[in-house]
Amino acid sequence: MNKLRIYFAISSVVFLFVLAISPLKDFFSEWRGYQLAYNEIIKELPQRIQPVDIGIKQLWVRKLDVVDRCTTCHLGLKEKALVNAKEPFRSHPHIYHDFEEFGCTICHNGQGSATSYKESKGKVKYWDKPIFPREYMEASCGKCHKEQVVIQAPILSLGRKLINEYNCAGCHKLEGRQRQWVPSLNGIGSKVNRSWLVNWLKNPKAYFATAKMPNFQLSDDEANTIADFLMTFKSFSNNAILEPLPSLLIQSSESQTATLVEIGSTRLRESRCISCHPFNGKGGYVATDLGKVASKVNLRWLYNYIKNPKHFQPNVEMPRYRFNNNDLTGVVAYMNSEYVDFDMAEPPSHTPDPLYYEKGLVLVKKYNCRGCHEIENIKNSEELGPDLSFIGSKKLYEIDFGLSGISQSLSSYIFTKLKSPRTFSSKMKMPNYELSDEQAQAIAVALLGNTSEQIPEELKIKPKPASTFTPQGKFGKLVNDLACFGCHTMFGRGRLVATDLTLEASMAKQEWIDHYFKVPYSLRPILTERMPNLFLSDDEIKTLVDYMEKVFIADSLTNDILINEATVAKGKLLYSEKYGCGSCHQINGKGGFVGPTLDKVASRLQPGWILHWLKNPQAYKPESIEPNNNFTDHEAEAITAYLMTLH
Amino acid sequence: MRSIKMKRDLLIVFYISMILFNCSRENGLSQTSSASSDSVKSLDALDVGLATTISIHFTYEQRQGKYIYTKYCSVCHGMEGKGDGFNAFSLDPKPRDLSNEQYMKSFTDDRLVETVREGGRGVNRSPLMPSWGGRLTKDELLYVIAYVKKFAVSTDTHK
Amino acid sequence: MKKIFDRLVRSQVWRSIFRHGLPESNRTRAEAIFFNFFFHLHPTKVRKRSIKFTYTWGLGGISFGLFIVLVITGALLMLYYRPSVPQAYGDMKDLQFVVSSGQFLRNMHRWAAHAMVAIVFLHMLRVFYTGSYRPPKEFNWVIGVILFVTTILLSYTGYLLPWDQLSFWGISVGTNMIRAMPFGIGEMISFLLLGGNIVGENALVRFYVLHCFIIPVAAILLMAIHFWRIRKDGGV
Repeated sequence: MNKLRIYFAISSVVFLFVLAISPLKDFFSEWRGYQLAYNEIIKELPQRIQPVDIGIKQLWVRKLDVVDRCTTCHLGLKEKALVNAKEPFRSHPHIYHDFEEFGCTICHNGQGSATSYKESKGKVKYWDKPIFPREYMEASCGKCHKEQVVIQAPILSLGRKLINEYNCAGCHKLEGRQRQWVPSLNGIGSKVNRSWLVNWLKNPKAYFATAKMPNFQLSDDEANTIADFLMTFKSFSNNAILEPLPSLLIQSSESQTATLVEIGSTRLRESRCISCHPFNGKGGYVATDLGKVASKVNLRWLYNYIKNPKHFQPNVEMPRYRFNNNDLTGVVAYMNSEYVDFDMAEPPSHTPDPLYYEKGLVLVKKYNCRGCHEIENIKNSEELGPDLSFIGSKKLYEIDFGLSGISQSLSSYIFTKLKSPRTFSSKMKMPNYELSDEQAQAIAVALLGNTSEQIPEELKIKPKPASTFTPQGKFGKLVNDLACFGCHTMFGRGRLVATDLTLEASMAKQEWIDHYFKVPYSLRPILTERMPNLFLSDDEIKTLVDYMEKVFIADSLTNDILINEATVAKGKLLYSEKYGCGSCHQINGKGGFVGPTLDKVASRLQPGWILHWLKNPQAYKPESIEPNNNFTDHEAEAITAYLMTLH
Repeated sequence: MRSIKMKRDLLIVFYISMILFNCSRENGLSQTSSASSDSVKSLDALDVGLATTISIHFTYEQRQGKYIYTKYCSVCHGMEGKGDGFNAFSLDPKPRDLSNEQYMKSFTDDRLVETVREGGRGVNRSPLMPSWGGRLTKDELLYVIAYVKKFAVSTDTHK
Repeated sequence: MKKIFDRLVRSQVWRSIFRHGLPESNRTRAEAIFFNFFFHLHPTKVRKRSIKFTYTWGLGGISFGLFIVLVITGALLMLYYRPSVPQAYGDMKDLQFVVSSGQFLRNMHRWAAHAMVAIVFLHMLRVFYTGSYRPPKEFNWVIGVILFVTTILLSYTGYLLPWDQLSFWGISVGTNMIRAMPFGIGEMISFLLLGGNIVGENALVRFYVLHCFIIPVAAILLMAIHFWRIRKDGGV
């Protein structure tokens, strides 16, 4: 009985101690330690900073219904003086959003309600939103910002651009991403030679380094079978028929060829193919590399294609040059003599499989070639990849890491998948895009932003609806024929390789535009992408100019400028002394090379345009790097007056 | 056989990069300097087209600053701040060498911001440096300064 | 002083509580002991061997003790918990992170619940092996079995309340098993339990009410009978 009492006494005392542990733990909590340390640290700083009241702090974000307690320990987020302090006291980088308005976890993920380091980072069991690694941080911008380019998030924007460029939407469902135009395979049998096709299928990057087509890692057999299959596609869409080559190209004496080649070389330079097509890596970036094109396609196709590109490849953004027959023959002859791949690899030898058509069809379906290319007898792409609309919310337990041994996180999974798509299992079909680390990172960032998180509609920034500006009539036909949208933007539609033409007629004088079509030149000599000479007829030029004078104009931009000696002198002084315009613009061979030269600017630009442009350049061309000098009206008028004297 | 080897090589590279990343993160926690682990290179997202790669660690400000710098400043000051942009040779006086540590140290941030905002004429220097106050917002000025200050720090300290 | 005390003792309120006044005679003194409930938890006569601790291991008492712990911690947890889909999980996280000793409360509640299931089961085994289910105690055995079932049900209904993946799927699986009962009975019971066909807001509220009111009250009533019968049937 005595023994029992002793047991009872001991167990009571132990129980009391055990009960005391919990309040003690509460009192000596981790966050309290940080807060005390913070109060110590700020005492030593020269600046006066409000010490913190001990206690749990939290941000309640009403619109997202989120409570984040990160500020319990991250105490110096708003203190500029703590830029270089140790974590967790360092001040938050200055960003475009106020974190007090949005909370922390909306961007950083992690466990906002937690009050200890480990739990708040969220890398704990049963919390499937661990804190975002910093190099993928911009993915969070993509949760709300659904527009194509987010200026403040360059990596995200790059990723979105790459997703479009590499046409991920061909195989994957991706919200808001459209499939890009890719050459149709109809008629490929009449276009390319078989050896080239096999090499290309085996490794597109070997043909030219910036090829968009990925490497499907095909075996020799597969490549041969697909090539055999594709070579059976001899007829083009729209029943287009290849005209025979001019006799001059087939049989000509050496001297005839020499003259042809010389004409061709001049015309090729005038027509500025290099503005869009790179030649062995040098030149524009819009179209394919032509450096070895003569080893790829046959002459008859080349001749017919340059003559009328859209006839054989509907919707291609290549202008139809108005070459006469002789010039065209010359251009083809020149390309045939110059752009040859002298060391093209011999394709692996093979004996055609009797069942090549059936097997080829199976392979083409398996690798979903239809996802990007149009193929006559395959109506829809069937073998789709996984839906990537909500890939950013994929849970770790849904991912098969295979034997890859990479760190188990969604971001590293996507990164590795992009870098080497078949790491996780050899049965995967995704081709290798041979992306650089930065590209893979950027695409991963863009993908991680596709989450299924519920974000209030009013916080989402939707992409601007794509412009559907389609000019009609004669002008519309010409624009289509000359593929103007391939380089120029008009009313929000088109690329920005060249200038935005929306206000062209308000900007430039009619005579100048007229002349420019006849003899295009570059206003900025350092540019590769220059306006080609399309060899337009006078009638066509008149149509273009007339339309532009009616449509590409804004009445608000007409202004009369008073030109007298005093203002001109003042303008000149402002130009050279006060604002140093000469650091970017050239006049009489003096000045910089960033902006267009201003020689003869008076015969090029409208005075009203110069005036309005000077006051706020970005209002008309947001991408322009011209500084906004906040000119007063008088100053702007004076400079305009000075420029208008430069005939 | 070959593919297995390739895979292994890839994994090794990946491990090493992960380890490096981890190291740099540890540094970020303990160091007092503002080095953090945002290594970001490609910035031609907006068709700046001139971006080269500088593989040092960037903070958010520096990253933003790099984009702005590449777009607006690099034509004269050069991609690495040496004052050797393609437009520099026609200028007299030459653009400032922003990687000159001694010179850059003599300015406070506020002064640098003022220089960019007001241009050369605003701070009694060559008017060839335009004033960017109208183009860049307050935030953007801070970003670009954060990036520009990177040039004047010898790269050894950024391991 | 003594006057005040006398007046107090003679007051209506006092006498309504202590009906006998101070025990002044030997008889009343004895009665004060005889009629004390707490001195007579055990029957007046028990078998000698069942007094030995190793006969019962005190398992019934321990389960009752755990039940008390569960009631107290459970009541405290109820102060911070709201049984609704948007809030339940967050409230649980708040208990873990910001409520003073909240994590301790949760752990106590959880471990006590686990222990209670185990101890009640052991108690049953003990009763079985000592043959204590034999007449006249056969009815008490039945009540005991029902009490065991209520214990399990308490444990199961509490499982849903944290509203995390584990509980969601645990309850989904459990109710789907009920569905397997034939003649459409299973589906009816499952529908009744969940207040619908899936585990959702209704299920959470139903399980909450079951866990915090209906089953505990039933358990308390059954326990009262259980103890009373032990007392009457001469168990320990």
